[in-house]
Amino acid sequence: MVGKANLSFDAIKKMIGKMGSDNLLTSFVSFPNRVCFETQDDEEKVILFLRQHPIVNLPWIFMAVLMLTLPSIFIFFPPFASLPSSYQFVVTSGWYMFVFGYMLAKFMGWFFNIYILTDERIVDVDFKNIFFRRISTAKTEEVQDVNIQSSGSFETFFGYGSVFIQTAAEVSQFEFLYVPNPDRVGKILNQLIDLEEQEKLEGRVK
Amino acid sequence: MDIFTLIGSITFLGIVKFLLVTLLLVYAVFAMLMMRQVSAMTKAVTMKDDYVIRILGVINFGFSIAVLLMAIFFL
Repeated sequence: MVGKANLSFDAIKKMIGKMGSDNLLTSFVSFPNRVCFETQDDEEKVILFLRQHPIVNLPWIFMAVLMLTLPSIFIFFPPFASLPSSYQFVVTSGWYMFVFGYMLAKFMGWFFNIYILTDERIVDVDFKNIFFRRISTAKTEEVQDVNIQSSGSFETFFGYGSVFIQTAAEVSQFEFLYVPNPDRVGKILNQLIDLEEQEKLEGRVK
Repeated sequence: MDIFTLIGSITFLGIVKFLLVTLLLVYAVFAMLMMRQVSAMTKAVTMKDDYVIRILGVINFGFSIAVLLMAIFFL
């Protein structure tokens, strides 16, 4: 059984090949090193690891830079200007702390919004804010339809888009939003579906 | 101390200090939740070098506690 599982994984590896860089902030990498998730089976292998394209972080980075410059403007206006220096120091420290928290929360929103394709299923880790997280999975054999959408000048220029996956699982639609190389993602997913069907026909069950 | 003396002893800086401490206390709780959420997420999905984000979470919480203590004791 293990030998057959390894055989199909080798076939997938040969078919897809290594793509993307393997660093902490990567948004597209195939066969990543040291990526695993809580509900992963022992023999299950991660084929593709995705995040949203880094360009989606631009609005909050711009906002954070703007917020960081605010204390230098506060200083000229009451009531901040009329406060004693110890109060000004605490208020300014508090403000920078708040901005740091804002940046961290936004960064976490991007960092932990993960899409994973394994040799057995698709995994969607949704992390909208610090109070909401959801991990949805569906077996590859339950995938019914894959739609790729790339619209707008930004998405076309930077080469990212969304992949919508219809499934027969409890979660009927998986949305891989603003991922780099959506065409490749769709192609890989279709290859995995084909391989799964082939395995089913040959009677190989993992 | 009657109510009028109590109201009379309230100063503008006293109100500012009270508001600051309350806000910073709320933020410290928020930072703690954030740290716990980072920890939960890095357990849910383990990645290469993900200790970096855990450190950022701890720094944020430490920073919030430091500013809260500063507000309580320095003001």
